[in-house]
Amino acid sequence: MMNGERPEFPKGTLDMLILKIVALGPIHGYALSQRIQQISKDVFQLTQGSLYPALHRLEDRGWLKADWKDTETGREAKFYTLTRKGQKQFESEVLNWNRLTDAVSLILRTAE
Amino acid sequence: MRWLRRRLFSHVVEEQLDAELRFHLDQQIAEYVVQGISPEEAHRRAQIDIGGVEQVKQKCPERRWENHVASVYRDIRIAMRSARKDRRFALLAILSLALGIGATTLIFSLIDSVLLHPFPYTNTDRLVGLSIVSAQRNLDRLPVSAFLDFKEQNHVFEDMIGLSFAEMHYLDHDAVESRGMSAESALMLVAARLRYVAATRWGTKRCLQMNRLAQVVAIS
Repeated sequence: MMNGERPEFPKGTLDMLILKIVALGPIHGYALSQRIQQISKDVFQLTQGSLYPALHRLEDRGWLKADWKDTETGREAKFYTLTRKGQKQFESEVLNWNRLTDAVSLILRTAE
Repeated sequence: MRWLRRRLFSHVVEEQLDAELRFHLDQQIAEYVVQGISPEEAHRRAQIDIGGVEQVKQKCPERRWENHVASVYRDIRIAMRSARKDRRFALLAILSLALGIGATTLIFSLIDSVLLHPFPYTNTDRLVGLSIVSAQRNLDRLPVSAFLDFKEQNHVFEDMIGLSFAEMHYLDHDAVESRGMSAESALMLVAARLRYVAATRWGTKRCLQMNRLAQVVAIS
């Protein structure tokens, strides 16, 4: 099934996953991509080409807030935090996602 | 407001975007080095991973405006180049565009002036032309005195306006006659606003129906 390839993010899930990880605490882009890769057990690999545009888009919509802060190594990095609006958005996206996956699995189970 | 701030502080935005991506690159390199890869190789791999800083930047919303401008500029240049390459085709294209635009504009302005906005007056549907037709069915002229009589005795029209195609005769303050012809000089009744609708349409022209008018006058 996997064919050794990394599957692409289903449409619309990237935003939700980013919001989820950022909700755990302020995080910079690199750590975020590492975290997603680790938690998904290397199934998802986030390329910078999709990560940063997505982060900036979410910031644009007011779902994320960004601040420049020092990392442990003393270097400045852009840390993202979830806003109240982002929290609401995340909740509604999770709701939608659950409804969608429930419907899909229901069809898969019954339409045999 | 955000886009305005971006325009005004575009260099700051660009620097921050650069710094963010550079940070990511450096972290990735450090990660590879920790895994025991030589710094040069780590650098190369991290570069491949990030897949071109400029491409990443172009996808960010901060750069969307610039991208639009750049792509429009590119399109114009391509258009100019291909137009120069095949002049006959370009000429044909321009000609058909011009004809198309011209024809549509013409038809629209016709429809606009004839159907949509025929006259710049209120209640245009009640405006009629009034003229006297002689026994020989020639359009006759009406003396000023007759027009004034009509105007005075009229109780069919809201108002009447006379139009003269000839020079008029008038008196100034000291009752000195200046410039003109006799008081009976040519004049036509041109516009009268109907108080009662006594007009019928004959084609596009609106004509007074005399029997109907007579009836109306008789009633009032």
